[in-house]
Amino acid sequence: MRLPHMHRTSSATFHGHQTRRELFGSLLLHDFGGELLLTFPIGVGSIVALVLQIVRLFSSRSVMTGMPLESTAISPSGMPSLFTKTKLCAGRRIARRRTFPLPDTNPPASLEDMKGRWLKVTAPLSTVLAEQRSGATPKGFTTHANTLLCLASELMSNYTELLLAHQGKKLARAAYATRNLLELAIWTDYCCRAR
Amino acid sequence: MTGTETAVISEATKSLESVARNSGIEALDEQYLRVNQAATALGPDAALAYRNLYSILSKFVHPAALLVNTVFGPELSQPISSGFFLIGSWLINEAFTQVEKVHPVFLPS
Repeated sequence: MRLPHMHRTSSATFHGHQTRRELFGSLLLHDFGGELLLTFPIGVGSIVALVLQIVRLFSSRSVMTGMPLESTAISPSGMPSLFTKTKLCAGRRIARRRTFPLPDTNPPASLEDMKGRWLKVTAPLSTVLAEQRSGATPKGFTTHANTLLCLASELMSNYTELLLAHQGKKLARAAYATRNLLELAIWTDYCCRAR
Repeated sequence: MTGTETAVISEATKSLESVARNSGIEALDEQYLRVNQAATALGPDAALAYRNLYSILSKFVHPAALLVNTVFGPELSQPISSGFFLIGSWLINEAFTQVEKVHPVFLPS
């Protein structure tokens, strides 16, 4: 994995990036002047970074929610840095920490396609729960099926929410739905493995 | 609190504990498993992805994210939103794949 580097370019450059790889490869981290981009080259392993934070210059003293003091001066002076609500540290270091592998994947599916997959995924689980009513299935077995069914339904619900938020250009709602999907995906994986 | 109120609360607590025991929960005061602990149990990759993604997404969810969004502006919000959409799509696909892997458990033998 190569380390990120920063350079100045026009914001229009970013809009030319259409593919997923390029989208994640170039992280738009704007200076308040609107020109600073952080680019993050990714290799064959699809290492991507999501450092969607505010970028400030070290030379600037004012930041969004805090003000670095002279006693906490950051070096090297004059280099761009990343500022978050809790951290103000060297760009390289924080960017390296905030990287994670994202396997190559297909473009997002349409809502109809995803609904089809959801139905396919949940069909065996629904069958188990239907059989439970006849008393043919052990209780623990159906509890597991029910848990997975609920998780799958919540996943679908939040995907729909994400799609609508994205189409409606509601960034905070999109982030909220994505964060829900993140937690649900963790729980789904966990519940699949730990019965 | 009167004696009657105490008795009602005590009775309700006992009832609740009984329901919990029947559901396999021995102690109500037991701490629930946190998401980050579940992610850690899945392995270092999942733990790292969860930690990084969660903190970044939270910046846009929390009311303070208004400040962040102000910086980006509408023309830059769209690419970020596209990024979130891609991530969300990847997450749901991965989750569904995991469920599909346990399908054989539920199929009749």
